[in-house]
Amino acid sequence: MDPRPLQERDDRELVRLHVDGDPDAFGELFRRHRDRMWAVALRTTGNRELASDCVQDAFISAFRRAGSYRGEAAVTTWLHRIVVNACLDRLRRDRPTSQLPEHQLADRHDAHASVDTRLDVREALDRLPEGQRLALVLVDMHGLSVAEAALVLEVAEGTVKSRCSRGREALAAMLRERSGQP
Amino acid sequence: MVSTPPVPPRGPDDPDAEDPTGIRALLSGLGDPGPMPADLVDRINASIAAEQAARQHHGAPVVPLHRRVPGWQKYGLVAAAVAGLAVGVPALLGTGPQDVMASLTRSSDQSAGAASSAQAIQPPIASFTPPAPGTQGTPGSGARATSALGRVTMVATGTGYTSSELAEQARTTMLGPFDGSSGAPGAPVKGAMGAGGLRECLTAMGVPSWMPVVGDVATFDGERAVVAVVSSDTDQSVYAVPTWCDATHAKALAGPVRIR
Repeated sequence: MDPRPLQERDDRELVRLHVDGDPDAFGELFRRHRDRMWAVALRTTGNRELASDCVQDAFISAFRRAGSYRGEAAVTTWLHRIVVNACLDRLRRDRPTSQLPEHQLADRHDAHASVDTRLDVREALDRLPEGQRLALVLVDMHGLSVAEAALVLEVAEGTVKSRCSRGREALAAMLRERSGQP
Repeated sequence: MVSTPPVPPRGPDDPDAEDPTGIRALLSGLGDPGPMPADLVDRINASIAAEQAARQHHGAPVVPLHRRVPGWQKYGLVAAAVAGLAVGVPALLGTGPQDVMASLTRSSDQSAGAASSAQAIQPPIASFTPPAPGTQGTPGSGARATSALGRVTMVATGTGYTSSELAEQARTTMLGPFDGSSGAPGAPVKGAMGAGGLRECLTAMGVPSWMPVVGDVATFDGERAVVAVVSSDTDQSVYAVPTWCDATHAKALAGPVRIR
């Protein structure tokens, strides 16, 4: 038996231990990746309560479905996929149209320009089609590579690249419109 | 020990970084949302603990917990169904390792080690009235004279216990209704998450073995733990122990704290 503590095991080992019945292995996985998955859920949903529900659903789903993890992709990729799908399921259930309702880019006067920027960018992101929004959240905000984002979203890498490209152009256009630039 | 950082480092030559719009730089510069909120950590840890407890019972179906649990007070109430599916609660005192369902239907005293009970569902232990000194063999009795080894009952209420509110939480949670409909105990588990390991853990810390125990597989201050309520002739005390606590690795995270 490997005497190393769980904290020294890599992610794949933890999943294997969990599947084999170790009662603490999944808790270590949760501790290790919870902040990152929280960030994904929050950036995907744009809503803290919704993100809380989604990330909880995702971790419970991962707990139950760990036996289906084949080990080909990284554990983080697998977790990302579960979290993103949990968020999408919830968003689609709550808002059945593929595109979220448009937000008015309000003319907020705020002493902190960065707050204006974050609000405008968040609202502009919400106006993007779901595929483009997810691609930008994963690649640009979350730092995943195109290859990893493709695995998470279960689409081709070329699809991720084109979604990122079109999403950035659309966002840039919306933000230019907001700022009154041509 | 740190968790995975939210944004991994990107190299300057990363072809994915080409972006004439500048949006990528804008998005990546918006800032990190911060760590998962502590209450959400507790909530999910409690859910994981409940799932683990259910898993110990040969894949018993798990009832999803309510999603929004703003306060710890709801953990016990909402997870009562999970506890009911995960672990049955037979007569708490005096019975040996008999089948749970058999013990619920037993209608008369049997061996010296058995405190028979005709009750379908036992009242929660916080409402248990300790027997008068010298009482022997009555239902619900904790009299040491009739029981060499007090019953250990394991539940999984999904409660997120905290050091500041341990006694109150134990009192409130143990007052919740336990559905005794579950069947035989599940597969052996290591450490304090199982009845045997919890007994060994408590015994190693000086708890007399005749005292009945209810052990709740839950969380304590955000980490997985077992919270145990131990009943003497006159009162009850609560301990919090690590899940790995056993005869040779005995440790109390908290307690004993008298709760009544």
